[in-house]
Amino acid sequence: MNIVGISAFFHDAACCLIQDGILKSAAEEERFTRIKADPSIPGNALKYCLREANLTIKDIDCIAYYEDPQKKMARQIWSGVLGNASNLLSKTDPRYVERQIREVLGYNGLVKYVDHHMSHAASSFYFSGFEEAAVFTIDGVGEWATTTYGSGRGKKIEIFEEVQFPDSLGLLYSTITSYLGFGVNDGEYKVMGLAPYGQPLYIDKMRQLIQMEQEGQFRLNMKYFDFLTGNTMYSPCLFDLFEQPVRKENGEMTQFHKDVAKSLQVILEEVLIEKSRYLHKKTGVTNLCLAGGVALNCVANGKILKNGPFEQLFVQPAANDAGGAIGAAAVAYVELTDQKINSGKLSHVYLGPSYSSAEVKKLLTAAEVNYIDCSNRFDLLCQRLAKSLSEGKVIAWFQERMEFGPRSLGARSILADPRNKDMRDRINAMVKKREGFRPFAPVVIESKAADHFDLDHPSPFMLETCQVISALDLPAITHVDGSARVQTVNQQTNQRLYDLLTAFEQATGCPILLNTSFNVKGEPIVCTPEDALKCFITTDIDCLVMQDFIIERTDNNFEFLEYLLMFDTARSVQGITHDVYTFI
Amino acid sequence: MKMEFRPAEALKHVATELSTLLSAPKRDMDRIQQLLKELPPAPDPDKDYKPITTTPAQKKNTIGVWEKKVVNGQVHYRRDLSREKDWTLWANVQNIYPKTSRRRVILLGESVARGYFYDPHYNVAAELLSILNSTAETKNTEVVDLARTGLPIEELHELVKSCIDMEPDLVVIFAGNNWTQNLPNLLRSNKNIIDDFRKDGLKSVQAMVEENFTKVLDNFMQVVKTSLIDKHVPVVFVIPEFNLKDWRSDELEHGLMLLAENRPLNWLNAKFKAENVRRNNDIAGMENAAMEMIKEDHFNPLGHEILADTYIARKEWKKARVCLEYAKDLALFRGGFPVPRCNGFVKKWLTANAGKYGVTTVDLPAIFQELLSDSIPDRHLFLDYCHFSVEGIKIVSRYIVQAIIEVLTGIKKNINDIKESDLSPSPEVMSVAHFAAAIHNAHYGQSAEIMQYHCRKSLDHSSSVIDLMENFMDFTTRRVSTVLCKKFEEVIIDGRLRVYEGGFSLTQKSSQKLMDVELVDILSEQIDQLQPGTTQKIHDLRISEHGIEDPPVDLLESFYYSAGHTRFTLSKQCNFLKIRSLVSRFFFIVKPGTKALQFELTYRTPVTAEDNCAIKIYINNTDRVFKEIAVSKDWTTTTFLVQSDNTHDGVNSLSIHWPYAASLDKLKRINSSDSFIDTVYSIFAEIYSFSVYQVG
Repeated sequence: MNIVGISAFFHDAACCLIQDGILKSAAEEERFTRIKADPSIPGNALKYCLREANLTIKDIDCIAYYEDPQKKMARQIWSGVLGNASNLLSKTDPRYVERQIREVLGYNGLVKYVDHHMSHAASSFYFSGFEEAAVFTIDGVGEWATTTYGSGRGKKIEIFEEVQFPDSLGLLYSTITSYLGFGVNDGEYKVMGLAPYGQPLYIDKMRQLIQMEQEGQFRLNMKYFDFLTGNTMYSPCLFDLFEQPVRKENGEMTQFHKDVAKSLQVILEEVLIEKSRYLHKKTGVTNLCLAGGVALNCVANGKILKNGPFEQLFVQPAANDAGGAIGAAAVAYVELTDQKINSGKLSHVYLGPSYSSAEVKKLLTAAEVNYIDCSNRFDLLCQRLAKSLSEGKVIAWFQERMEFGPRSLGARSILADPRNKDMRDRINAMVKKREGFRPFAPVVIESKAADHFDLDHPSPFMLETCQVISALDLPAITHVDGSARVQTVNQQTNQRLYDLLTAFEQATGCPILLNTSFNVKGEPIVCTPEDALKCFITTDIDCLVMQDFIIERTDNNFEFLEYLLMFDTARSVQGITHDVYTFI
Repeated sequence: MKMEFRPAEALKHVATELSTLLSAPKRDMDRIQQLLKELPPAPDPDKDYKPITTTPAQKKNTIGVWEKKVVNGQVHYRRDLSREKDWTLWANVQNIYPKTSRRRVILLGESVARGYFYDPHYNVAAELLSILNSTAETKNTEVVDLARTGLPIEELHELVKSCIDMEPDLVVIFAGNNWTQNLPNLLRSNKNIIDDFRKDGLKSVQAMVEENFTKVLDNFMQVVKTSLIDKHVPVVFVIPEFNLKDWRSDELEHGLMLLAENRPLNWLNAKFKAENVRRNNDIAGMENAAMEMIKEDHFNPLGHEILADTYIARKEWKKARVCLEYAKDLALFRGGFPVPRCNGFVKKWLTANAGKYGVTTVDLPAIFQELLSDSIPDRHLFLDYCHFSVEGIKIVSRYIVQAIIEVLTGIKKNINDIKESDLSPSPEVMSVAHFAAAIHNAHYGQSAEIMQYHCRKSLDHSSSVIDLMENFMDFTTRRVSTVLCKKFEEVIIDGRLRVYEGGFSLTQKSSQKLMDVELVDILSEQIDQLQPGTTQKIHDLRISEHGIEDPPVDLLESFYYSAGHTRFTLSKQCNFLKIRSLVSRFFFIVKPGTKALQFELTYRTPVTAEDNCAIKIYINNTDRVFKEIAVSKDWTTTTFLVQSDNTHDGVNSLSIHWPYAASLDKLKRINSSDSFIDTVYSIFAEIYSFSVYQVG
């Protein structure tokens, strides 16, 4: 039984394949098209999934789409986003999704629509390894729902309550993100990183934006928001409320902005904890599954677990809409076979394409790049890199299958020594070109994690924060409040990164590396060896490691190639507008 | 003060019911209209609110890639570093100095005015400058070259408006080839086009296009008038000519159209007949077949081209010109982005109307018709479709100068008294120009014969081009994106291919690269005669880059099925290949020692078993059908084994001959795209995947 799951036409389009109940492959479309957050139908990602499983389109039993276009259209009609009555008929295209699946993907078989938040819920519960759990999904908006409460038991998921549009925690967070001068859909993470620098001085003002109501409900005060009708997320009333105008992109970051970020984060955590208590009361179970874009707020996740009633937490690593593809496919599989998903607890997300050493070698040969070939000598490669890292070198790491989801987890990563106090600034300057306040994350050998972090369980997906308790000084990965967003690694899920961490520990006594995504600001994470080489050339990263090959910057002169890449039309562009969510 | 806005909860059920009704296969319009009335007017955003996000960037004071700089009170235009990427599209001039006492002629235009394939070593501006200053009436003249390769009409508008700041005494506009580039978008965006087509076929579409062009032309001339003529700056407009004899429609452009009854089949039969009689040099037979083709499908350029060939054979040049001009214009309606050309309608409009706006025209088609009484424009005048050879540039420039003199003095000087310049590109430049032309012709579907011609000319001019050719063969053969290939870097550093859009027109992403099998074979064979071993080197590189092993090679990658850059641009990008010609040709590279290859093809066809036909597969152009497979309207996968006695080491080809059946309109069932092109132009098959791997 081959089920393809698809998310598309909003942002973060993605595709996955579930084969006989096992999640075989998944990838975001942006990685192939190099269009950041590409919302278009994920044709390239589908091609990859089919190729990976040696299938063709006629082998697919069902395509599951991550939301219900008809319900979504009802919400769009209600909210007025499709215009008024006179042009509604010409503006609506209820069969658009199906036509795209038939005409662009060439698929003639069964298409199933799975509600957006059911897709999120399934993406978490079915891959949590829990036999039963409460299921909490929170994002911007799906069809009508923006937040849902449910429970999962065995192969059944039941959603028993939802908060409907426009009352949305995701849109509240995005609105303040936009007000603080960051892009909607990709700047929320920055607000979370900014929060620890501030004080919650604007809590009372935040409470005017959102009002808690009975049971799972809450309500936004829409006079402060304009995402229903306007060109921005916020209305001018928000400026009156905070007595400050919008911060311009790249404008000065003042204490006010930090305090607003902190206040927002505190409010979000308050709401989530209160509602998770409600969910716990309703379900009476000890396990919690989270999904939806808001579940990428790892600081809040940590608070839910620490201060809330649940004992165990599973967060879908692709909690955003990309992950909806997995959930939709899982729901379709369960419906069609009446069987559970066979994956057990999701142990890794290395579900994307891989490239052989032979392919990498062809690239390096064509480009006449000087490299060190460590074929069959991976131990030497690790030793050499460990030494370089300990000397303060920054390494771009490209190995095996690409990660699915928004985080680099050691397949397409930039790695560095976390003990180096200058490393954060150095990486920001050489590659990330990003805001200096944002922390970098550590990756640690799973068995050594508890020695350095206040963490008593594996954290393979970098979705929780905890306090740094290490005897080592780790300034490059420790946030201003002493926390870190930890990824743990073991031999079973990422042997190569594990080997490198081991080599680094042997060389330095530190089993931890700084790990950040292998991309430059505004571009998707690299996918192919070519993407990796281009990214390496256009940054100042010291060394690129692709499969068995080490490319040292000092052994090569990329000056002219960097100039040529200026003419490369294949470089990335943005797939969505960043001023406002488009609800069409 | 803004009030809280949210639509009434009670309307949710209205919206839900509406959505259900709108999604139903059959819409209940009465109920829909009733529900629509219940919806409130769309919410009104705060009109007076302007979001404060970013300050809009201040527009630079530029003309083309040159930025205005005032130095010591004088206005200079200096090349803008922030537009370095575009520099190679413009004249290689760093600084445009303030006007002096010399008469200033500004040249605006497209790549044809740029001197494509020769620029910056030689170009139209240089030729004009030289002739003007050696002609008594126009001595002491400077030419400011503002021509740009790939100039869209919108940017030409801007240049016409802004060039007045450079104080021209006269402006020459040499453009019109790029004005049809928006045609595909026009066809795509016109919602009535299918209805129009049903009324009167392509004739209606053509009328719609011409109506649109009339507006475009009128608008352009208005801009010229208000920006220049009304300010007493005379304008000479040069109407481009086309390489009528040697540039022919490609496979895409003469694809089969969806026509009524048996007309497509009749057209195909006539085409086969024409091909057969051509082999026997039977001119009368060709003429009959071509006439038949035209009768069945008047809008297909191929029939007109074949008919033109019969006139050429009989030296009936005027008739040949009429046919080829007609064919040239028809290629615009065939679904791709056609190579630049000046549409006959545009030419006609300009000659009839430009004068009304005060603009003087130089009608190159008319000039060449008169000049070439025993020929029609061909490879001697052109390097490709519209870009002139040195010979062409020299002729054209004399006529432009003739017009300039007439505009400035009122005297029409005898053309024989206007002498061409002594300027002549070096043999090395000529050599590179022909090499670039060979590539350009190859990439846009032209024949092996014309590629051979330009390769031979290139090597005849100078063998110094060989290293450039070798680098090209290397990077085009490799799988890696061009920009990352070291040999491409060497080409750019070398600089000689600057004549070809800085060399950057050769950059292709890995996913769009061509292996250029035919061109590379021609190049390597010709170089081999001077430098033995080249063919072997290419053979080895092809095997190491593309040799089939296990895992499978995807034959739908552009390396293996694309011969050029022409694409059916109007139809949607989709996950499968739409086949629009009756024969699909794939290349595959066999490694030495291969015992057998396993092919796996997933396809569907519009014709079904009841049409009583089959798909035939041929290996390496033999006449023997290697395999027959059944047609199928559903995706079907077939596998077949090819033993080594059918192949040889290196490049092999596999052709799939798709059947044609009169019932091709069944296709609509498998491809219901509302795109005009997809509806009108036949698809013979669709391939979802096609792979091959080594076995045994």
